[in-house]
Amino acid sequence: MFGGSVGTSMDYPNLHRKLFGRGPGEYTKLWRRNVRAAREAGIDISVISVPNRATLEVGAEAFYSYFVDELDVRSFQVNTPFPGGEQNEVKRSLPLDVEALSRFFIDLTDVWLERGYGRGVEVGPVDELLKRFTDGGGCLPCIWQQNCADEFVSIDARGYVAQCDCWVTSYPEYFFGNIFESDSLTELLLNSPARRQFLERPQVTIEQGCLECDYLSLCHGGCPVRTYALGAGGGAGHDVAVRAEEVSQQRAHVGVVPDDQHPLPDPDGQRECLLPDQLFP
Amino acid sequence: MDEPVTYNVPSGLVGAYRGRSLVVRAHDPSEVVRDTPPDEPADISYVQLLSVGPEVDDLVHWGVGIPVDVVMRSPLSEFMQLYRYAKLLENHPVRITVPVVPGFGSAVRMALALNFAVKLEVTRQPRPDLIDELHDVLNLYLYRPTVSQPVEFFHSLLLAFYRWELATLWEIQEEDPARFRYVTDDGQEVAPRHARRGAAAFDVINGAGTAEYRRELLAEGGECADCEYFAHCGGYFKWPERGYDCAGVRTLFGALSQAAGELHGDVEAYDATRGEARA
Repeated sequence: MFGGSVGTSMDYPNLHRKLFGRGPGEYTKLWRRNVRAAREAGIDISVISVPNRATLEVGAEAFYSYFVDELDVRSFQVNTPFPGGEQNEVKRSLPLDVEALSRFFIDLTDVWLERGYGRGVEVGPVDELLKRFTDGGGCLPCIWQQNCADEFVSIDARGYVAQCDCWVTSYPEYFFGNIFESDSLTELLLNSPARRQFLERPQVTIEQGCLECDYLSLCHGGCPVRTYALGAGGGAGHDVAVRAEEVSQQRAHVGVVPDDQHPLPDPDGQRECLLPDQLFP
Repeated sequence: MDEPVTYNVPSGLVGAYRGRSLVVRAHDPSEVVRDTPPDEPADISYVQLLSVGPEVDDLVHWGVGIPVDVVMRSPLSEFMQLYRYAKLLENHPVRITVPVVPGFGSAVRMALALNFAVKLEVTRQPRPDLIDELHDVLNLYLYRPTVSQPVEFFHSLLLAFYRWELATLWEIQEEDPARFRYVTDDGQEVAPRHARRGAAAFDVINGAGTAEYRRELLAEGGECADCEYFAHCGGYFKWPERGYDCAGVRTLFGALSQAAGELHGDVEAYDATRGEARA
């Protein structure tokens, strides 16, 4: 079943994943027990992990060691947070200091290149990015596609259609429509004003100056839902969204640029990038 | 054995050229799908779309694997639309032909960011401002790590320099009248576009190609006679005005030749490192 492989989510340190009415420690204990049981049953485990403030404090070395050395996870992917839907205290705390997050990704890549690369350990999305740089291949994640509006749609159990699972679970104002209220999915997609915005988004990003960016071929304006979600709160959130997109770009350097040349966010804050409300005018 | 001739034909004449090597051109992708029978694609080298704008959905699942060449006319006003062609990459190699006119570099950047190959179309002998822009694009192609697609004519020239092979711009640019013919909408066979320009067009029907023209250039004893890049240029940049000053284009050849030399050095150094590692 599942091709002998199961994906699961866990952060290190775990701050936010909890059992109902209990703390993250008990969740982690249960999760570790289940991972061990799955492995004993011959099932490979791959992990998706989202860095939090504590992750940046313990650093990439401890993060890598926890998953690879302690839990023997050979494949994990590091995603950036997506605080979709209604805001609450936890979601407001999710955006991380971009400089620290950049350093974390760079350090994690260095650790992986030294200890895991060529030894059967996959760390996404850095491993695929490295393939892109070395042979032009690599299966890049959806956040780095030219335009995700050309790639997929998501339909939830109620029949609502939206760009992806993130949009369909969080932002009704960007639903394309409902399949139970339309005779044809094709017509629904063709006539949706919200989808038209997604299709036209690349032009907006290019008009705002992305054409000059060295990393346009990887970033294409960044993941729309992350950009939108981080900016939805307004004010400072806009700046975080903008800089979060820079991290996406900076990760493009990782693994191919010598240590002393790793580009970190522009310390003077002069770099121009897009605000979410420019991406979705 | 002589190389086969490739015919650039309007989609409506595909049937008349059955069995030959073809470039099938059309303004709208739907014309290609309509005019080309399912068994025809084997003869097609690539499909050439002459207009940037029409929907390409029809072409995405037609003739899987056949390359598509999108010809821009006005790169500055058209390049924003290139995102719409990204879906073709699912089933086709895609090349964007960009005319070398002021501002063409933006279209090249856009095309390369979308993982399209690029062909630079030399629509006229380039003046100094365009030489500068050509150098900018050459730097992108040679040194930007996120560029993974060829930019012609740079790419084939670089390979020719690197491998010490003979290849002229007439062939690289698909403008050698001995190898490439353009069939007009009313069925007349003429030389490719660049070769057709100027007062004296090449003799296409007799298949003389550019050999006589090149001999004349050397016999005249002008710039070409002493040019170290003549074997690769073949007088391409002296057409149609033979009085054109090639100082600028020679710097492009020079940069490519130097890059090929650097590549040789890097590969040799790498091989030496591997040899040391084995020892």
